[in-house]
Amino acid sequence: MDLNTLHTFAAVVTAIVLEAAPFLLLGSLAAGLVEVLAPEGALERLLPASLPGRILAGLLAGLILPSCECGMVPLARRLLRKGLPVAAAVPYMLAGPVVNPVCLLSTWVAYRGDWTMVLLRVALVLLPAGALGWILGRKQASEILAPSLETVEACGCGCGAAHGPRLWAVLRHAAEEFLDMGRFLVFGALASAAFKVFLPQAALESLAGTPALAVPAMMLLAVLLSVCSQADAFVAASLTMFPRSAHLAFLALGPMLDLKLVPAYLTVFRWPVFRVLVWVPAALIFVLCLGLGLVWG
Amino acid sequence: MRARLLSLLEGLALLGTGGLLFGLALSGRYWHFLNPRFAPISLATGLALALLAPLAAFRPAGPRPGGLFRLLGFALFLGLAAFAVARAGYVPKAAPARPAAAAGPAEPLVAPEDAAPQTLDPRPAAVPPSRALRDGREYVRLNLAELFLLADQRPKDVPARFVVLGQVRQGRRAKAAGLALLSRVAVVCCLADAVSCCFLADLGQAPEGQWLEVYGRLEPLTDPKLAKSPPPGPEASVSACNERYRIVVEAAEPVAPPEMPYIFEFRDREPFAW
Repeated sequence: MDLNTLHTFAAVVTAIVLEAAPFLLLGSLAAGLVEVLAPEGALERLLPASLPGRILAGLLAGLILPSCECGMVPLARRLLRKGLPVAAAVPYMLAGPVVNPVCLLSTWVAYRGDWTMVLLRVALVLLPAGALGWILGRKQASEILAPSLETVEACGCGCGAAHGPRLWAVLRHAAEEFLDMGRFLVFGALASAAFKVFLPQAALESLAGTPALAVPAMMLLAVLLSVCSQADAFVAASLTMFPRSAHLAFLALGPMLDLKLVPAYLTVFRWPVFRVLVWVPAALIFVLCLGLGLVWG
Repeated sequence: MRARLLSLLEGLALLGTGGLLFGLALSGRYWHFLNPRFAPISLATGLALALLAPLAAFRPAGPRPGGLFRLLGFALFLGLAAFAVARAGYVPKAAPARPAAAAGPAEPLVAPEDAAPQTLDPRPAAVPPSRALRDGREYVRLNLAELFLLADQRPKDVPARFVVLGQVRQGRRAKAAGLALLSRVAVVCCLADAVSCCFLADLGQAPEGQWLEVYGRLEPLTDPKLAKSPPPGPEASVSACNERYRIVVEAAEPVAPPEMPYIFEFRDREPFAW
């Protein structure tokens, strides 16, 4: 690897981490607030009692609590530990990065006011997120969270209590959360930059002409590039050689599964849960986008 | 003792990350990594992380799974970032403004920051008028990303005649047809989403890397295969060459590389971001 290539690699890693840092910090601060200020069980009482009602609340929560995918995992894990039902937390974690005003607006702008693309993107995200809410929704948080998380406490003594003034406790938790999730952001950025710098674009483009191959190619690209959900529509819109169905596959899968998220999922969730977090969205989006490709010709 | 040291080092990692964000946002090198419109957000984040750093450094010692692993992650990131920022000033300089006939091989690496101070404002210092006159004809100024999006999505709204700024990139297949790519990198958020927007243009003889101000119009591309597999863009950007249209060049003027070569702003109507 020559110095210029190494520089490009380092610059892409730096750019990804610096771009995501504000969102991760916001997610960490929100997680700190939840940890310190939300009483046990209070979040559950705010939600409908039925499973579909909880899933629906989770799917639409991004409209009130918007964040990109980098901030979602720490917030979701903290919400789960504070008693938010899995049926709401998982759909929120998966759908929130797309079903929020910022992302909807950026998609609308990138596709020059094409509401079909915006609405189909939302639908393609809501379906797998809702399906996962249904699949995992009857489980307890302790059944889906990795056991190692039980000892991660900002107080440092392992008791989990908020020592000192509440504001300090919130900030200490936020710092702890940022450090904990930041490492996954860094390792994800390293992997993504490696693919971006070393993967020949022509290899993916050669698949663009066949819808059956274009859809998985764009799904793979979404995972490898790990572009933020607020900006990915512009990248997709520029890849004009790919059909619209493949664009939608890119736009739907990226915010739910990319190289920044994989290490975070692996650490936060148990292995069987990680597997469904990967396979259910990937399989559903693949099938739905292939279907759209057939409908659109 | 080990836990205390780890806490201290993690506090330093937060301080380093915050300092990097803060310092970079105030420097002239921010645009190498992120769209300058995000500089205020980076400033605020950097400040917040610096404030959190003492809390992380001096928190009570206790069990922290993965402490060494996450420290390693931040250390690796800060090392790479230091290298990237230090070298960000060194970009390959294209040929300076001069007649195309006199253009020679590519220039050596230089540090533009050393030559001219830069600002965080993504727009040029003096905004040119939205139209230009040349040989009695009127041309609308727009940037290549705007032209690309208009041509792809609303071709009827593409100005009849326009002037764009871009860098010449030669592709083997296009060159054989007397064409070259006119390209410019567009960045929406950060370098990770960089897209090199390209059009084929009648610039087969222009030297690789030359910055040109091209006056022309669009015409349908008769052989879309020419636009397939464009050469890789700079800074690992995704290359996207318009497969429907090419630029018919009515005039082309070599110009000096812009202070910020990337496109950071996109508009869908006149006055365009140019």
